Amino acid sequence: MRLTEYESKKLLKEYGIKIPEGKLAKTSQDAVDNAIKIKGEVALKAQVLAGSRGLAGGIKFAADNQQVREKAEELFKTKIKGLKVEKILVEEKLEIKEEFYLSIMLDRTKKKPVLLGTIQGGVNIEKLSKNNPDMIVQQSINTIMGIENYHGLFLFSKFNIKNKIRKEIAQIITELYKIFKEKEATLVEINPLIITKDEKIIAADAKIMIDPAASYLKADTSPRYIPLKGDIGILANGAGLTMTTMDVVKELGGDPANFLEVGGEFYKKADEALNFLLDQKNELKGLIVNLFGAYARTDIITEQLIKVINDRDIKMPISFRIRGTGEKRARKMIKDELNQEVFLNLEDAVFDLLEST
Amino acid sequence: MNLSKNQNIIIQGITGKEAKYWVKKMINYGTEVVAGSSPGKGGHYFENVPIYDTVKEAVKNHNIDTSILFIPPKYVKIAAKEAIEAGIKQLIILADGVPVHDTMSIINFAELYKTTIFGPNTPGMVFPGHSSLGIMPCWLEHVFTKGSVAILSRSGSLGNEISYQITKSGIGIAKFIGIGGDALVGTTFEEVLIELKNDSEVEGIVIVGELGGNMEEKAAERLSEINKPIFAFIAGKTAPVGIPMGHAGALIEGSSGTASSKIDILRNNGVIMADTTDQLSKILKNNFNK
Repeated sequence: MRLTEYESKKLLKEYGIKIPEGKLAKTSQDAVDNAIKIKGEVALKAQVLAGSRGLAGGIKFAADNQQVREKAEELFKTKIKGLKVEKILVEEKLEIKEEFYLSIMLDRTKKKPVLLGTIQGGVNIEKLSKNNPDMIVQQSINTIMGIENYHGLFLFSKFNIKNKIRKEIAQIITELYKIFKEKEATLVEINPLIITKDEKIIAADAKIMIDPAASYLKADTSPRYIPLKGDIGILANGAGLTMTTMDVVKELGGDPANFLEVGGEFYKKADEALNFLLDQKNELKGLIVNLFGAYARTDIITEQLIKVINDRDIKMPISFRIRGTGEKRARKMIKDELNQEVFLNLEDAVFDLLEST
Repeated sequence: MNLSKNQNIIIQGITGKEAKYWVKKMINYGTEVVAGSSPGKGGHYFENVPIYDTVKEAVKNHNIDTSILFIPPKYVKIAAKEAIEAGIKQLIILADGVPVHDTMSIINFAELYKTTIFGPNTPGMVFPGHSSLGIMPCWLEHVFTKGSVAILSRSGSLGNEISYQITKSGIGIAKFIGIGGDALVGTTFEEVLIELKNDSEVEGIVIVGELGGNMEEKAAERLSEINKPIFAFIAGKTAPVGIPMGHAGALIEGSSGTASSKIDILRNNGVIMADTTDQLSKILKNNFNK
């Protein structure tokens, strides 16, 4: 769950990290009003969740009110990487002396958070780590020990920077870790962290991602659905099997319309999931149901699916492949109530469906 | 790490509805479920298995190798801490949706106490014809038949599919080891591979991976140490970039972690790759030296 730049910066501010003066605008008039309050040159930043937003034309600068209006109007009309711009952050333009980088993220390999920093920020950190890895300092974090000021002081002792700045960076790092921990983030990143000409340290851009399963959030109970471009509907149990079903459909010449899985606890909500799919995609050519039950009981899923199929009087071809927990009863139900054979192999089921569409 | 088919099991959360369904299946299959725990239900029995209020009491009365946690995601951290502190050396965490910061804490505690963690979001383990430690349909013989291959899988449902293919090939399964579908899991492919190096029951290994993370890539770096044929199938070739595909861990970030990059790396390290699951059973038949 990615926060917008504005939301991310608001969090930084709550933890005492300096951010540029700025305000959100929903219209170009808002943008002008905001710019008047800020005085001087401003930056207009599209609040879309797209990477490399600057390169994609999502950041503009304006020197006077006329320019603010024009450029805001322009931004509201453009799409940044396919996303419509609905909000613009109007911010003071900073007098930049240096650009640093700080982040804490989940390191899946080490199974711990990792802290990264460099005094060559403002660039893509992946690129920098490939081209100039010596310029990046990093530290694996033991979550029992946490992060204290001495960690940041030590890490940045590698760079030739003023003591006063180093001290402030260390403070920012401890606050970043507090955010990471307290908000259950998987990434907190400041890029760039600006050192202004009068040596203020300000987070000019920020990206925060929150764990969608974070303990303070409500569990997500909506179907795990992802729309795709094709016309063959897919419903399977479990993420791995659903992806495999998509792959096989593609392999045999079809084009998947979606990813939809009813594994785990979702097996009790298969009816809701199928209804959702049919509401979202009303021009499916056919549907493949691929169940290989472990925890998810295929008979209970099948019962729900048959009800939806009958209730909605679905006419398009549906191919069933059912194995695993509850398979005997599930297969019998399809035979008795839909008068249809159930396939034992996935490829056979997909092949048959593609033949009949 | 304990990958033996003879493990004494405690079930944490044994009185839950789903737990009861699966514990019955496990016991019928021959699994040594020696105790259960459920706060407030101490002194009762389920299927002749004694229930204790705390794990510590169970440990006092029984030899326990592994705990299986039938615990809802948000309570997993506390339950895992309880088991770790009680001295249990291996935990199988089934729940899907455990907060990732809780998983990090559990892994840190486990390091302190030298405990092995499988999961979260793992389907557990199956030792065909002998025992089952989790939520796989072990009793279906066309899926799980005893043989000589070990399967390591991130996914339960796809793990089923692959098990079925291996059973179909006639080679059969020595052990099925569920790794888990979360972005962060306790034990990875790499660690299990090394453990299987000297396992006399295992003559070949099948890795069932998917897009996201770099667990498959890390395993590939160690393959030269394993003197057994290794096969793999990777799901998610048609998945879009930047969207988690059901599993929290199945997410392509930047240019790394795509299914095709994993397939290339594994193949370049000598793994025999199957393009489809059906193909896997044919490949096994042709390549596996029985």
